[in-house]
Amino acid sequence: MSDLKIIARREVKETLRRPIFWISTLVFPLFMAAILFLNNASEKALAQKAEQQLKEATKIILVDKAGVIDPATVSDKVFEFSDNAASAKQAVVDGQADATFIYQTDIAKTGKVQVIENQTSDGNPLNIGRYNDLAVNLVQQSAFNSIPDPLSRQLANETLQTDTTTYHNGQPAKQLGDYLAPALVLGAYFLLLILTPNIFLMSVTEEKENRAMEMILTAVKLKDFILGKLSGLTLAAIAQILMLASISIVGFIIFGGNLPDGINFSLSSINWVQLALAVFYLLSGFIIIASLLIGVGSLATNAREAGNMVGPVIMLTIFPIYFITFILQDPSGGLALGTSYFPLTAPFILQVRNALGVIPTSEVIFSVITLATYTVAAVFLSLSMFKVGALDYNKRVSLKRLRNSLIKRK
Amino acid sequence: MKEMSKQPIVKIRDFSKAFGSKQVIKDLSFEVGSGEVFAFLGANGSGKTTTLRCLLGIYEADKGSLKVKGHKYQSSMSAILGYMPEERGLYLNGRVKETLIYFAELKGVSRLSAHKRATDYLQRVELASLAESKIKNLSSGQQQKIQIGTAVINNPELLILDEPTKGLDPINRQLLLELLEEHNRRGATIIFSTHIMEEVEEIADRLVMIKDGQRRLYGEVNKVKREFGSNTIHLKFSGKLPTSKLYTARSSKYSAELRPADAISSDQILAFLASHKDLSISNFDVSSPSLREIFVQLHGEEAKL
Repeated sequence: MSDLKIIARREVKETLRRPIFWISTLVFPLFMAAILFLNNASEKALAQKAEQQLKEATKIILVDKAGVIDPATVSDKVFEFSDNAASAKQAVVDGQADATFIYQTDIAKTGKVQVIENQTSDGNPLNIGRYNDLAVNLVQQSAFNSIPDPLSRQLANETLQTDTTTYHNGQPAKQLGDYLAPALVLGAYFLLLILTPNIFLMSVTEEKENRAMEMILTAVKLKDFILGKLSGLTLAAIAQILMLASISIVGFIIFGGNLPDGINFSLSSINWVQLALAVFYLLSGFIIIASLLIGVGSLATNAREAGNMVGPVIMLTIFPIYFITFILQDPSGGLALGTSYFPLTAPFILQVRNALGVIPTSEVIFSVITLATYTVAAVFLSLSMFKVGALDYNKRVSLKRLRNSLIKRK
Repeated sequence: MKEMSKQPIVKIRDFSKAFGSKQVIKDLSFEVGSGEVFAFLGANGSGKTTTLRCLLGIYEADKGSLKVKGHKYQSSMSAILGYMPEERGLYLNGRVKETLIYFAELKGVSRLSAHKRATDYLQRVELASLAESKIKNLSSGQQQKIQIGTAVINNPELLILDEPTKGLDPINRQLLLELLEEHNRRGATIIFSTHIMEEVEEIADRLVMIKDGQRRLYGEVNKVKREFGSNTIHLKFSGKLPTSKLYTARSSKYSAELRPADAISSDQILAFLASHKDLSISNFDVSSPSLREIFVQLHGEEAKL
C-alpha cells in the first residue's frame, strides 16, 4: 500500500474516533431539531394557554360604533354590547369585565381596534394582548358572514395556492425546484466551512503536538504526507456530509416530507452539468481552504494557537454571506464578478451564481481553470508552509521567518 | 572491537550547516562502516542532531555530501532505516500496537507482517498486555519502549538513535542495550549519540567526537583513548585526595583520574600519595584515560555532562 493511502486511512480512522466529529455530525442536527421542536412546542403551549384564558373569560364588552360586528358572530353569552365606551372601560378597570373592544367609526381609515384588558392573575407579561386576535377576528368573521354568495364565501375562507409558469425570452424559465440541487451543494459547502476547521486543525497539529514529525519525515515524502492527510480528511468530511444529509432526509420524511409551497423537485429537474459544476466548485473550494488550514496550522505549536491563526482565513471564506443580497440582486455585476475570482470567496460566490444559472459557458471554462489553478497553488503553498513549520515544536513560526524561507526556497 | 574495514554505509564529506549567522557544523567528515556500532559524541548544541537531521534529509546541508549507502537519503529508503530522534514523539491518543503497525507499514512492511512483528516486539519488551492501550496511558518508560519499537520494527539495516538512553531507568537502559546488541548481531549498523561515555566504552566500535561543529576525535574507541595518552592514573581511595602540582585530578568521592604533569612519572605520584596518612588507596593502575576524561578535557570545564 502506498504511503499516501496508509496516511489517508489513518486520518479517516482517527477523525472518526474524535468526539468532535460525532458532536458536530450528530449533536448539531439533533440540537437544531431540538430547538425547532421546543420552539414549536412553546408556541403551541402559548396558543393553548391563550385559548384557555379566553374560555375562562366571563365578560367581554363590545362597543361597536362603526357597526361592523355581526351579532351572529358574537352569540356566545360572554359577549355583551354597550354604547358607552367610558363605562365599558371603567368596567374593565373595576374588574367587572375581562376586556372591552371598541370599534370606532373611522375603523376603515385607522385600521385599528381599541382593546382594554385586565392582566392575568399570574401577572405573566407574555399574556398581554391576549385578546387582540379575537378583537380583529370578530371584524373579519363578521365581514365574511356578510358575503351573500356561497362560492365567494368559500373562496374567501380558503388559502389559495398558485401554479406558476414563467417564461424567459419566449422559453419556459427555470422553476424554484430546478435550483434545489446546486443550492443543496452550496449548503453542504457552507456546512463544511463551519464544521470541519476544528477537525483539520487538530489533525494538522497532531504530529507537532506529539513531536512525531521527525520520524514521519524520515519515512514519508512531505508531499505524500500532506496529500494523505488532505485525502483522509476530505473523505471524512464527505462521510460527515453524507451522514448529515441522511439525518436531514430521515427528519424530512418523519416530519411530513413536503417541500415548501412553490418548490417542485424531481430527478428530471436536475441539470446534471450544473450539478457537476457545483460539486467541482465545492471540492476545489474545500481543498483550497483545507490546504490553507494545514499550511497556516502547521506554523502553530498547538490546535488552539492554530485556531487563532486561521480565524481570518475562515472569516474571509464566509464573508460573502454578509453581502449575499447584493449578489442575488445582481449576480453578474461587478461585486459578483470580483469576488468570483478572489481565491477565498470564489468557491462560494461561483456556487451561488451557478445555482442561479447566470454563469455563461465561456466564464464556466475560465472559472474551472482559475479554481483548479488556485487549488494546486494552495496545495503547494501548504507544502511550503508545512516544511517551514513542521519541526518548530516549541514556538510559532513568525511571518518574517516564513517569508524568508519561502523566498529562499524559490 | 572492529576496525572500519567494511564498505561504509554512511559517508559524510565536508559537511557544513549554518542557521542564520550561527555556524553549527563546519567541514565535518566521517564514515560509518556497515555492521559497526558507532558513537557520535559532542556537548549539548555541538551539532550532533543537526548532522543526523541533515543526513536523513530533514534539513538541507549548506555544503558537502551526506550519503547513506552511496546515495543522498530519501524517504523511499525508509525500509533500511530505523530512527529515534532526540525529540521523542508518538501519537499519544494512538493505541500501542496500531502505532507500531503504522510505522512499520510506512517503512514498507506488509500489513500482515507488521502485525506479527508488532506482536513479537511487544512480547519481547513485556508490553503484550498493553497492546490495545492508548499510549498516553503508559508510563514514560513504557512509552520509551514503544518509541524504540517504532525504530526497530522494520529490522533496519541502519539504526540511528539520538540519545537513546535519555530518560531511561537502569532496567530499561539495559534492555535497550541488549536490543541494540541483538540488532547489531544480525548485521545492523548502529549510530548513536550520547553524553554517557560509559555506554560508548561498553558497546561502541568507533566514534567521532565534535566540538564547535568540527571533528576533534575520530576512530576506533581504544585507539582514540591510546592516542590521547596512556599514563593516566586510575585511583580508588578513601579519605581525602590531596591537591598537587604533580597532577591534575578529576575525582569523585571514592575514585579519581590523575593526569601527570609534564615530566612527572606515575611512581612519583604514587610516592606522594602514599606519604599522606589521611588517604587510603585501595586500587592504583596506569592506563589510557576514560572517554569521560577525554570528553571533559576536550570540552573544558564548561561542558555539561
